Amino acid sequence: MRSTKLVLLALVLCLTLSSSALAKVNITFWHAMGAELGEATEYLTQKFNEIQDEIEVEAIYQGRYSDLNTKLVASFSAGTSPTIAQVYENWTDAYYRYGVIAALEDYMDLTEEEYNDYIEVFRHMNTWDGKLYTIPFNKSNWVLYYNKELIPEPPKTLEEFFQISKEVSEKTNGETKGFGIRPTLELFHAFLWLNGGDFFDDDLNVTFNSPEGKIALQQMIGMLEDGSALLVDGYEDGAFGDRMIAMYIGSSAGVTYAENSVGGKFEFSTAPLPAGIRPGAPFMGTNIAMFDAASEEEKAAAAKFVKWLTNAENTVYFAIKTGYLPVTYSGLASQEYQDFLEANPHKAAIANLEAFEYGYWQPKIAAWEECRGIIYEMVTKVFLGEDIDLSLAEGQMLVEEAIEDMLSQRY
Amino acid sequence: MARTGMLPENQMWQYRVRKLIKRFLLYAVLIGGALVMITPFVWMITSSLKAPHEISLKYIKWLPEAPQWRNYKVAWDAAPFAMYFKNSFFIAFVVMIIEVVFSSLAAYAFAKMNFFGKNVLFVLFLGTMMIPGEVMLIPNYITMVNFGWIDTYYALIIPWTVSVFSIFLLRQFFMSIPHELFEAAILDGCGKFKYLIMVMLPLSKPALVTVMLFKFIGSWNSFLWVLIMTNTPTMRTIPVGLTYFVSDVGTQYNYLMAASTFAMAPILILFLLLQKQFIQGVARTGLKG
Repeated sequence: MRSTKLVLLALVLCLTLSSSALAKVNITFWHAMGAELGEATEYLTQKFNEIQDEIEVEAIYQGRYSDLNTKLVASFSAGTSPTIAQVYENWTDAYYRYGVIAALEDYMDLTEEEYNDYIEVFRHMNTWDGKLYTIPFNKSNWVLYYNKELIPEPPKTLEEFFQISKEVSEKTNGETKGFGIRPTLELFHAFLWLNGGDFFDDDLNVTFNSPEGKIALQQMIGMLEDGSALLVDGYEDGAFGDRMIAMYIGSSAGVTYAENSVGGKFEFSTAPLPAGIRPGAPFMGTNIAMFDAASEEEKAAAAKFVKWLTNAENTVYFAIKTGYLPVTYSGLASQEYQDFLEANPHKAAIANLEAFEYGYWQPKIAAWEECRGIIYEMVTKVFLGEDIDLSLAEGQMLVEEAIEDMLSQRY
Repeated sequence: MARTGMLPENQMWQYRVRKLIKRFLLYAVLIGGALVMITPFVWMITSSLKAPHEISLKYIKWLPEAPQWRNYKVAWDAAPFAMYFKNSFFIAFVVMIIEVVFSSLAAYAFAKMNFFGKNVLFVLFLGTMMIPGEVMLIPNYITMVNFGWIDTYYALIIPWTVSVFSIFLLRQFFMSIPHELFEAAILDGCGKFKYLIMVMLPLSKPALVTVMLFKFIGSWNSFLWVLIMTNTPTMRTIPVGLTYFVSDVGTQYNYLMAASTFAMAPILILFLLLQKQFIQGVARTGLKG
């Protein structure tokens, strides 16, 4: 009798335990963050798993961003997509067109206050169809890194910027060039934007084959020709740390690389990009998307996790650990983050509040991956000495073809 | 010495100088080649001991000011490398063994047997080498999902156990072994399979070693396949670990070089060991030939 009771008790215990284990919703989060970034992500995920017992999140490293995209695309065809993943805006647009993502906002129960707390620029970058389809996660902005030994006051305007670049090169007899140039799409975009141009207008007409585009390329080439800039191979932080260049434009997320390369040899700081016809602050980085293949239960769980991940405390933790930005106004304004900026004055430009007013970003269209390849090639050709007008015209033609392909639903 | 001893003094002197110059040129070319090959390795190893600010410099700095041995520790701890090593070894070894069995059997059939459609089949085989792997990645992924092999060793091993390149290489080698030997053995009552094991394979040691080495290195370096077909760290291999040091805003070169050094060491040791075998194999076939 006694033993039967015991067996029954054990059975009941087993059942309740297993049912509570079953009730746990498992979600997967694919990301592309190795090393310290990965650790910060892993830490937050573990913490979330510990503070509640309804949801279990598994964060899975899937290589670099390009690998992650490949794997996501493969997973859509095979029906094995994760619940959520890090995505760039142009991927989101492609996934949106495939019809494989679900709008996170629909599941997050955001109050108006919470919605407005996400920084406006990031909301723009994450909105499709009037909704926050994705939620900003690791966002960075591009800033001007400068050597404080050689440049006590950073340039405020493009004119000052050219002037200072020239002066530094002359003062050091060319040992240190004023500015480091890589023929990247991002740098071309910066010069294009500061001169009042952009890649496309609102109707996706190509606008970089324009006087602004020409001026941008001429300015970049001009700096190399008059010796005020150095053509840099690879990431600029190495050349910066070795005093080969006194300024470069780079991601705020790269500040630790700059610290490492400089290695305490001189003081450096960051500043907003110098203003041309208009000011500009390029914003980059990825967001979190949720996939439609997940069950309603999983979607609700994932939305809870994303909301928690971007609350003031966690977005600040992530920002301090990695050099990315807090994604909410409350995070930016938090005492902890402000103290951090005060203790690290060389990082102040990263979270320059004004910059959020004139932020710009790369086109969030599915064809962007292809277009950016074309534009990058165009800029490289100009650097190799091809005619600017011809290159711009050729670039426009190829980009228009890619856009047409996209609009005719071949994506 | 005896022959040159007969020459007049001045001719002998000329001969010696010419010989010396030839030697000198030969060594200059060899040393030059060796330097070109070895420089990247030296740079990798010295950079693995540098502080981050000592790597990307205007003038190459070969030696670190103070060797940063902790780079190895940091790199080793950045990813679960012990597990990655275990997986890499296991997968590369199993793939190599199974592949060499399959390849030698297939190559034997293509080289020594006559059957209907042999040449067409062989050309079809070779044709598959023209299809780039990237094109097949997503269909292959779907196949693996349907087999239920995602995140298992099956996906990492079985698709790689047949290699057209190895079959091609072995077939060419097998064909160079005189057919008379085959006929003589068969006449003496040796079966076809026994002939492969007892005669062909021992004679083909250099080709086998080459195929095995290629396969091992290929499997060791395989990155995208492993990444796509697995989800858990416990199933992954060393190249996945190396990507931890590369990001879209910068690369931690010192850690990457430290990790590359320990990732490469086993391959180097294997190569040195097999190189001996390789030379033996060549010597043995040389005698028979």
